[in-house]
Amino acid sequence: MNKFIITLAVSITCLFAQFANAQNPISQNIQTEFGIGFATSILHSGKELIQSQELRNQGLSYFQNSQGIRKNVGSYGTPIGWVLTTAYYRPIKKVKGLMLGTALRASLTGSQPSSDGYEEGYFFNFITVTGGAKYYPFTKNNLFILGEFGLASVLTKNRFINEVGKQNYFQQFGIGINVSAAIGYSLKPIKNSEKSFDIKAVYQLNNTTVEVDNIGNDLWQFSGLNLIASINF
Amino acid sequence: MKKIIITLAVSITCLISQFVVAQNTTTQIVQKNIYGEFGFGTGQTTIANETKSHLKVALGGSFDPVFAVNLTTAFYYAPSKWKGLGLGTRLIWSGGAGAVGENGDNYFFNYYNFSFSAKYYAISRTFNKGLYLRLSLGIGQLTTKRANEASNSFIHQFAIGNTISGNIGYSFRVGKNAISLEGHIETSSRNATINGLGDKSLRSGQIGANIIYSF
Repeated sequence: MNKFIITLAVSITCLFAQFANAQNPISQNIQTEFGIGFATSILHSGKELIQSQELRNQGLSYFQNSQGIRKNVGSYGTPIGWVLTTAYYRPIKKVKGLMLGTALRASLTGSQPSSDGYEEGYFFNFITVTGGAKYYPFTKNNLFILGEFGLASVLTKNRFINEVGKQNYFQQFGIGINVSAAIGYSLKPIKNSEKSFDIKAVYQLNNTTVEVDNIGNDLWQFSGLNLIASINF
Repeated sequence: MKKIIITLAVSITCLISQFVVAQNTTTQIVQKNIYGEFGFGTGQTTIANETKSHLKVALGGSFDPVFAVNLTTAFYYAPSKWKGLGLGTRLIWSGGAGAVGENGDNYFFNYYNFSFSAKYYAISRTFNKGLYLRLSLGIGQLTTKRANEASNSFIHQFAIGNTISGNIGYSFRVGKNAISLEGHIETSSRNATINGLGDKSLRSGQIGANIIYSF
């Protein structure tokens, strides 16, 4: 029994020692990243945020006339769009596989109704500026995980046709905080090159305060789900 | 049984060891000649007269902009063989304090741009040392707001477009890093959709100064 315990203890110690020594070569280089991908937004809470979403779910215009009637404009699809990203990560010598840095992500999403199209479109854009940690847990496998925390801003626009047939807009802007998590994989197609390519899925949770007309401070919580391909110089 | 467990434990350890076997543990961090910087500063926002009239329609009132606070970050690729030239990207965010405008309401005017940027140390020919010139071409947004919290009245307007900014500054070496003082000038043209006016170009700019920490 003693022999077994000693062997197991030595094995576990060896295992953790190996992890501690793990030093994926990709994690040893400074990374400056540029990327593009697909984005979608998921709206959780906020008075104005949810009431306008309910109108879109019913296929109704954001504009209501003096009798309180809204035009049926057709069904809105899932808000999808693009995400542009840039980031900078620097290796931390004392913790092998770990990099610290900063990232900027701009997600531009929206949807248009099936019958009235762009004139009744809804745009939901959000931008995050964060500090983050990127970690490669393995030496030979280029899997990485990423955590970020920082600032978020949100910009929305409802387009609609008013009672005299003119194009009008209702715009909102808010700021708050962001927490993100990602998992991805680094590809290194060119041997001995410092360049690498990342493919990653990023989940962003945002809490922002928006000053909405006739409501005041409105707390908007929403998520972003992004699939990003990027190049690291 | 004991033998099996011991063999299994050792086997798993060996297997995982193959995954995480330390390689090149003595490899040095490759610097790649990339420089980062953070900075802050202040400047006077300027708004073109035509843009002021557009904003009066958008917000239902007029105002004169006050000083803005600048926050900047940038990264440059500047190998020594480029002799003082660095190419990279820069983010500049400028937030203006609330200005009291028409009808006593508070008016805010904030803007940022994300740019491709060139920074050149023309005299020292060494990056992060001495006099430099910087030119940045970017895209970004402005957000402006008229607010009256007592009546819960908030009107927002934003616009997206281009910015050109220029700097002249001087970098003082602090060990491997540097602290720089620079003058800042920028001009922007951004497109907005304004109720009653439709698509309009909004022109604004800034004259100011920044302190930059480079590493």
